[in-house]
Amino acid sequence: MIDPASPYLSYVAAAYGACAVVLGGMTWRAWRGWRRVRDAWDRVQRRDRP
Amino acid sequence: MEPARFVALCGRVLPFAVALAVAMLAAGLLFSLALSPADYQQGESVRIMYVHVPAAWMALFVYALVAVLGGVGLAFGHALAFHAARAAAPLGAAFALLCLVSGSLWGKPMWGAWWVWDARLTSMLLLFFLYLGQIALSGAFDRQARGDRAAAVLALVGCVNLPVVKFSVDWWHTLHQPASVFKFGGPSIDPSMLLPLLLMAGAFKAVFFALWLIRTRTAVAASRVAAARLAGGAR
Amino acid sequence: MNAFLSVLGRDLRLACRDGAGAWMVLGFFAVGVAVFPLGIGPEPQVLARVAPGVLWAMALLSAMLSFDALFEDDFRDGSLEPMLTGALAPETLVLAKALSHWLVTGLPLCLAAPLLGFLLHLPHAAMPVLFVSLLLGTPALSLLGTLGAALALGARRATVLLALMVLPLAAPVLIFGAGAVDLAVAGLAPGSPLLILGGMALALLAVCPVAAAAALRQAVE
Repeated sequence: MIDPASPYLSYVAAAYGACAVVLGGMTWRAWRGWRRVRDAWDRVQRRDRP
Repeated sequence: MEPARFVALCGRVLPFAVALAVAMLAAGLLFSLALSPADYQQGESVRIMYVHVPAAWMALFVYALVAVLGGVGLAFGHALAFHAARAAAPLGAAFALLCLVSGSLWGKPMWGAWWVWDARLTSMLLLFFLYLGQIALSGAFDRQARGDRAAAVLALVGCVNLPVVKFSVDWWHTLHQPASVFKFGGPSIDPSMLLPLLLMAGAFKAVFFALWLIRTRTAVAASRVAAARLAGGAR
Repeated sequence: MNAFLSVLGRDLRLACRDGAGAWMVLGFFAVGVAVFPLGIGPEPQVLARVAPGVLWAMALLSAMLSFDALFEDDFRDGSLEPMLTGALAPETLVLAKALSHWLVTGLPLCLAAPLLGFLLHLPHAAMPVLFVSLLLGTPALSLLGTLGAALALGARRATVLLALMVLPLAAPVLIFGAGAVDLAVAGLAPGSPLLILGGMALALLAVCPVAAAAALRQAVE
């Protein structure tokens, strides 16, 4: 278990925070990109297969 | 593969990929933060390794993947390979950036400086710049097909160049050896630290796979939509 | 071979007629090197310490500036496409372009660098090593830049893009080139980095024409 009194705690927290920001940011961007194209894609699909 | 079938397939695989990524990440975080000991030398700061090292592995793995996909695309002309390569490259750049940031956060308590021109950090910095060039080139043309093909050639050349970069940076580092640096990462690693490391590596790979699936699906759908718009405009 | 020589001759004639290009690259090199003492200060020891790196980095940047025009003019006026579809192999065209670029900018950089070395108080013993390292390294830069120019042909903001792509790829050339001069300044034998530099130039001679030819075919498609 991580020791809350460790002098390195802030560095560890910052590293895992950076990890969360990068992974979260990538997820947000990927999902936003899909949401933007989804409606247009569905319309094209409906037109292709009525 | 036909766009409609690929998008449908992605939709079916994606829930499992996301579930796997979340489960792996939860297990990895549990072991790296709670169920592993502090290092006798580095104390709690060793936990940064469980982010830093997997991020470095992913950055290298994704670069190789982009090069392989580019090669497949150039050799067989599969549009899907180019879409997948374009979807993967920014993810690899993000992992390289995460590796640099976590390395800097590890370096401050261990080396006493936010940045040290350590051989490994310097190679990773160059890899990050290679990614930037890769992404800039693939987006620099009005015709996406041209950008895809140019980026594929660059990725193949960059992949051949990567061992040369590594070798040259190692040589450079021995030439300009700093007075004293804290050497981390011994020849062997304790099993109690290997397990969280491997779990986090698996988690990063699973997260990458899920995001790559989403981004490739987006790229495939977007190019189909753009083609339909062009056809609609011509009619 | 004839086709190679005719492309080379044509490019050299074009470069001579518009002689400003090579002089401007040399001017940039000289001004860029001269800016460093203004920023760092005039102490001879400090300048001598940074001279190998400054000269090599500036040579790299100067070479980088001159690549965007390599194929651009032929591409714009439409003469590139018949060149590629004609009897000439695209690889040969790339080699001729790289050689003409080296003759017009690389060789003058090699010749000018020792003179600028005096300005930076580079020890005299290191001058021949500086010259030889540039003589081996600038062809490698020309080949890499030719590849970059072929890849970025027709791109938006091609000059910046080219630098962003090629500079990380050129890092090993810079490291061994400046490293060889550093060793010479320290009084050590610079043989091994020079050999590696030559090896890299030969490897790029094998890789770059093929890759650049592929990029050129894509550009005129």
